[in-house]
Amino acid sequence: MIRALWTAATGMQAQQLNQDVIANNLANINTVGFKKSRADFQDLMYRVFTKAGAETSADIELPIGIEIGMGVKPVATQKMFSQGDYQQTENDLDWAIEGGGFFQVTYDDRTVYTRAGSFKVDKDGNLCTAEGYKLTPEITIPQETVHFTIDSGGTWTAADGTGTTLSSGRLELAKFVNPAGLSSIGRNMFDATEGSGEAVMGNPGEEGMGTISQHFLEMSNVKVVDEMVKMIVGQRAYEINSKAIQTADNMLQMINNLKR
Amino acid sequence: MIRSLNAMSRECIRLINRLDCITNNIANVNTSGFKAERAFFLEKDPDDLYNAGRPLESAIRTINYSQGVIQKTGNTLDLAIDGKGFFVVKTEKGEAYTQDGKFTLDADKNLVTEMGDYVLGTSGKITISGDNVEIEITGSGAVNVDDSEVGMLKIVDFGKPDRLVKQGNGLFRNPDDAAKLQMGKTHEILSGYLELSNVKAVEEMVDMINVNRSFELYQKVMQTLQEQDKLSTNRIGKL
Repeated sequence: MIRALWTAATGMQAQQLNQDVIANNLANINTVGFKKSRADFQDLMYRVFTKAGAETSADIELPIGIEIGMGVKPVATQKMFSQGDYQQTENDLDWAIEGGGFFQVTYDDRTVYTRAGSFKVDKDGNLCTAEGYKLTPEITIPQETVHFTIDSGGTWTAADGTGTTLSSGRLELAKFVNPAGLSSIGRNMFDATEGSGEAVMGNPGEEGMGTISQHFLEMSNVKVVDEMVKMIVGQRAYEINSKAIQTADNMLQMINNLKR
Repeated sequence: MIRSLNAMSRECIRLINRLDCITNNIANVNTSGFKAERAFFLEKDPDDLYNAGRPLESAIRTINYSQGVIQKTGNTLDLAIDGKGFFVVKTEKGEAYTQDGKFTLDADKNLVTEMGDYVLGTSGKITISGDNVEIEITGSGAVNVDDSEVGMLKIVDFGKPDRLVKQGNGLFRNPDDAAKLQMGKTHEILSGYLELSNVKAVEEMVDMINVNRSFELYQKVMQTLQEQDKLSTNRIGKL
């Protein structure tokens, strides 16, 4: 059978994966702290028909050989850590990181990382994510607290109604050499991988860490227009691959019609 | 009669090879750093076939090395070469060359491709070391970590790029230095950008239609030849 059929099939599969990634980006257009992904592709191996420099007749040397590729394969989906837009909120526990860095959260007995700074207080007064995973290092807010503030450097203060400080401390952020290498584990959280390198801790505003903005949330960095364009490109690429299959099929049919 | 049928069937096989080539381009329309290619078949003096018993055509493919569109991604380790040149990658089978700059880091913080092969600098592999990791890659290819240079990306160019052999995974190989390796000169490294595939859907589509129609034509010719064959056999039988 014609190889083009299989080659085009790999192209269609690749575009399907591409659409899956785009669809997930679009589905998370309103997810706080969400970072978009992209699908990365590479060409498959090549089959060598004639080698460059092969002699075809007594004194003629082929200048260039011919290799025909077998299609495409997905190699990775990569996160894109561009900054999302900021949205102002009224909540004392909504924090956005301006610049690089991640909040650290304890999940499944290990530390994972998030950009989604919409924290809640659990029954013991600890700050946690909406799903109850505690912030690391832990911040415990006394029950009598009326005012809670955090400055751009990450220093937080819990005060009572008269303005007396009940408790205070400093938030620590983590950052990575190559944040694009982080893996998503869902729930807005990321896990460190070999590709991202190990987390480097630091205080907000120091050594290249971002600063904290209270009463703000970082929105998703998905741009609808970009995703729509990618979706169109992906769909057309899918279509043209299907045309290649049709063409190969058509030619096969003609071969079958040779014998009447 | 048989001879013309043979010629036609050879032509059909060439068309199938051309379609394979077009389809591979189409499948890689979204593969960053991919270079489109064309298959050609050069006809030789047909008498050669009978005299020397060698194939009638020689297959040739050319790679279109024109620059693809450069797209902004924002990831520091996405690199594009603006101008001529290739990144050098160390694979198990020796050095390979690529224009696909989707790089990342391995466990030892070496700069690697997505397949895990080392990206080479002018003095070997590039290791990102530093306490307070801020990577910056300049236009000349210098890799700076926390404001101190840890390596310089090696960018090479080729005198005869058509002699490069594609290996898959976006890599090119240069067997026996047939492509004439030289240091790259006219390029700028763009950090946070990727070079997209240079496949042009329209060209591939037109070529595909061309192949399809030519195939149809040859099929008709072959059917006509068969028709004639049948007629002459029948008539000779009646005589």
